Amino acid sequence: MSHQPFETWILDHAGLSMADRRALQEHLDTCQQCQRLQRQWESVHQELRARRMAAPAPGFTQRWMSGLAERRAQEQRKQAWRIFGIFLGGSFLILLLLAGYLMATSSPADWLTAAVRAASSTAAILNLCVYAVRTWLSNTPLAVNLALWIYLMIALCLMSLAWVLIVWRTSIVGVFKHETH
Amino acid sequence: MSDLQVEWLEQTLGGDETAFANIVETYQRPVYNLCYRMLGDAVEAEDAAQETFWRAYQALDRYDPKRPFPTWLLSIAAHYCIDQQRKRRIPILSMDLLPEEDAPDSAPNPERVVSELEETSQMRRLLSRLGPQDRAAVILRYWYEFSEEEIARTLSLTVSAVKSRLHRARKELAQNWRETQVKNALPERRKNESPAI
Repeated sequence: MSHQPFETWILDHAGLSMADRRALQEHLDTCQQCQRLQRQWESVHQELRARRMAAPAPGFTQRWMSGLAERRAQEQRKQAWRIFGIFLGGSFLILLLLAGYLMATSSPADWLTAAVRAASSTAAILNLCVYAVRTWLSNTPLAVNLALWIYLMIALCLMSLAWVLIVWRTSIVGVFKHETH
Repeated sequence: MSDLQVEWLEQTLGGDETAFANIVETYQRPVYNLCYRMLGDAVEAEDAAQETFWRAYQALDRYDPKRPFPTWLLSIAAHYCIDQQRKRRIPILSMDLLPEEDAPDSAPNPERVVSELEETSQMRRLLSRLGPQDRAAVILRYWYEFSEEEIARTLSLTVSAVKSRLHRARKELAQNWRETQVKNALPERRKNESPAI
């Protein structure tokens, strides 16, 4: 015995015409299976109509706010690690490319000669630098040297600060993205 | 959505966290209720509701103001809960962790409270037997009085898919109703049986 469309009508009365309702009633008078379905659905429907809204424990918003701070710190850490990984990967890739280029264009004996030559010329340059600094210090007054030293230190501090700021801003990009709007 | 809430959204987009806290305060209950009905556990529902607000906060710049904000928020919650359900597959129901519920009458009446808790756990058991998407459709239909079109938008389904899911869910609920009634009645009957026999 077919229970359609009566089954659908039992479960959703919306939009039923009077003729449909009459047909449904006639079917219900003869079909026990549909009668049972209707009884069960009416019980469920009654329960659903008496539904209550569950509420979270008090302090939900405060918990969300403290969770937000934690999540941001987590995101910052993730971002910092991501940037560290990108730099490390990039450096490794450059080294790999350089090694490949050197392997293709020269022999190990050439590298050794070049390394020795570079070391000796670096030592010579360092000696020259030390000699130049000593000559400068012996020929210029102390006040000029002191002023130059202070100027150099300030420049170094400013550059370090700028570097720290750049790293900090870069590491939190995406975490405070709403601030950019 | 009121003008004040629109203002809160704009302030949040301008970087004001406390403005979004107002949004959380306003919508905590509908979001939590959806999560609780979907997951059937107070602790998991709390986590899911917190996650929903975090996701909404992160995606706020992609929110389309033409769409009702509560629907958008509930959509995030529903999708998250459906994913959680799919991950764990078997619903775990904790009967000890019952959240606060709206009671129509605040007068103390132990019988009424016990009966309400029984009904709540019975409904929770019934809902837990449905598939995640069917359950979400039923919750949105009966707890939030969403139309089939709104449910379709919220769950990213077609209207005909929502209709067939609702039909299937109603039938399953009706069929499972008797079973849960019998299961509830059995322990009660055993409790009242005479130990001498």
